[in-house]
Amino acid sequence: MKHRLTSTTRVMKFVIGAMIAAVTGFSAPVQASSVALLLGPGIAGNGGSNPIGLPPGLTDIAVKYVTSGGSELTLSVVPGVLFGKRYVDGGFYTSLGAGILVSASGVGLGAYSSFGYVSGSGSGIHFNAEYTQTIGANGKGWTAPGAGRIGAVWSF
Amino acid sequence: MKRCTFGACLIMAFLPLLMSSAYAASSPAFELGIAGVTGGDDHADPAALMRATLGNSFHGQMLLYGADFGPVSARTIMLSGGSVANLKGFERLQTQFGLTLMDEYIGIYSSTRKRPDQTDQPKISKHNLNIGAMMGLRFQALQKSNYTASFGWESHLFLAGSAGFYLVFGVKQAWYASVGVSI
Repeated sequence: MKHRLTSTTRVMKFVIGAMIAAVTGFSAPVQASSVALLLGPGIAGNGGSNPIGLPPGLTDIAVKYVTSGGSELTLSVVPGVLFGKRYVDGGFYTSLGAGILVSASGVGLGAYSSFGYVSGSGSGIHFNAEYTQTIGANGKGWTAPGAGRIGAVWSF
Repeated sequence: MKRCTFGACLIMAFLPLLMSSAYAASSPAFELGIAGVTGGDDHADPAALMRATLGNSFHGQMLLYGADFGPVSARTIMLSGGSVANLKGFERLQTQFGLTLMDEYIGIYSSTRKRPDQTDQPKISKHNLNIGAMMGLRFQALQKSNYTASFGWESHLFLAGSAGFYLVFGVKQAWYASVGVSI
């Protein structure tokens, strides 16, 4: 029991540390703020993804907000609510961070990384595709939900 | 490992090296490691890793894992190749993108059926070949002289045929630790 509490404490320290690092900011290029609506089935830890619902269900949707400083907030049921930092290189980006993970085995904490593509730069509406991988733990052990999604991003 | 997959393993094991030698760059590095691979179900299989990196730009990699369950033998080979680049603002953290060729083999063997050379002959066997995209992170934890120690975290995505229209895909997520030498 003591060992489990210690492990949980370490995970929480890591998550909080990653969030602080993301907020205080590693060096990242200045970019436009954006809001994205992405659609695609989540991978909840019970095999691959199921087909996207027509119309998309709640687990098929992610909303992302990215500040001009590169801080990124992801709101989704699967893989969860994530906060991190986005590093842009041309049209491609990589995001690193941590948050609350949701999978078939429950709710937990963990880290994530996203790999994505935005079709254009500057203000306007652009195409956005992204895959998010996570790794974390919940009360039943480790978990690694993810999601591959496509949609539109509005940069302003 | 059964004979029918051993030849394929051998050929695929050398493909990363062949792919790397196609690029005229300096200081190739070779790594061996251990990995955990999950198929999206929160269950990880232990795997062996072979990796070749050229310069800091290109890599070829093979993940091999499998298990025997009584008469059932399963083997999976994932062969990846692509580019590696430092993540902006980080000295030791890299992103990697590429393609993956995966061969999932399953065979059901019966000890009463033998080949002429007395090795077991499968009653049923099947290779499932898939090609997909690979993306991931890689952290170089240590570099001393010509020796390195690295950690990796990557996902391999495979569209599920025509169901890919509905964004259905299979995923293999892998974590690894490796040690290597550059020559």
